[in-house]
Amino acid sequence: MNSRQKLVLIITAVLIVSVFIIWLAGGGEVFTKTKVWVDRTSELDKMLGIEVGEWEDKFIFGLVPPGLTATLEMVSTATLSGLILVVTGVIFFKFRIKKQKETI
Amino acid sequence: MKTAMKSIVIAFLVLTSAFSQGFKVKAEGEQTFSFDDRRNQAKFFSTTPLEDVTGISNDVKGSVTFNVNDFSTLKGKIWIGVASLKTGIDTRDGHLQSANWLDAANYPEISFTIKKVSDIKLLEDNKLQAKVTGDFSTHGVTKEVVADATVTYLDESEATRQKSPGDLLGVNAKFNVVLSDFDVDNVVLGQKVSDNIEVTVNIFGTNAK
Repeated sequence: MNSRQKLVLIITAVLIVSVFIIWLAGGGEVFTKTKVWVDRTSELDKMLGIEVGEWEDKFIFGLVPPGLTATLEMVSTATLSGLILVVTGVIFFKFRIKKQKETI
Repeated sequence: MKTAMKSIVIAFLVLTSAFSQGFKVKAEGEQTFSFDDRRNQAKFFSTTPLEDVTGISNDVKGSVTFNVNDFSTLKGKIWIGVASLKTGIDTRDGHLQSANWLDAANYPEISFTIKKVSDIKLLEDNKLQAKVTGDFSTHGVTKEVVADATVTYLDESEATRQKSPGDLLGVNAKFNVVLSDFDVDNVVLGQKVSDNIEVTVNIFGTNAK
């Protein structure tokens, strides 16, 4: 492993840890969500003994995607980490080839 | 003989009124309330091994009729639009409405038809608790369920007119349904959803014509 490959691994580790920190900071939800329920209960609603709310568009970064049909729902800790690992693998491999060429 | 009959009738009326439970509000007699506001909601709560699932519908409609002084006279029906059921995840919403689950295309509505009211307890002059027995229909299957309901009656005022004209009736009702009783295959996205679903209805209606 050359110094470039080591740097790539360090950057990868930092990126993946960052992704997990963002996930935890976003509430640590299991699935990525695109809507949240917002409470709109007024004083009159309380007098009526009811709760009122509505769905609001909001992106919640989850651990895993709930499905593979909606593009936005595919953005998750698992998919981003996977993507980072794939890119890391490619760069890691390229740097190894360069080293072999330099040796020849 | 006539006096005896009169006494019996009076005694019957006194006993009936003593046992009948209703609201102590300005309105009297039979009232019909319509529920068609988009702010009304029905919530379906279930658990899965990974996370709890809450589905909420804002398409809740219906009407009820009852004598203000005797809530046991309650009759009516409430509908919920299956297509409006949202869980915060579009993919999961699609699964819930699919033929494998609630089958919104063939069974577009979930309904609750009131049959009987029992255990009425007056909490305040305008608020009471009761057990409401009714026919719950979904996925083409109808089963009897008992809902715990809290009903609040608000006479029309300056404050209530901001929400809707007429007297307002707020209903908070909870009951449980067992999915397998309604022929629902309770697997969503590879997760086994709890067979027991808690249903909560939060609606308000008006008697304004």
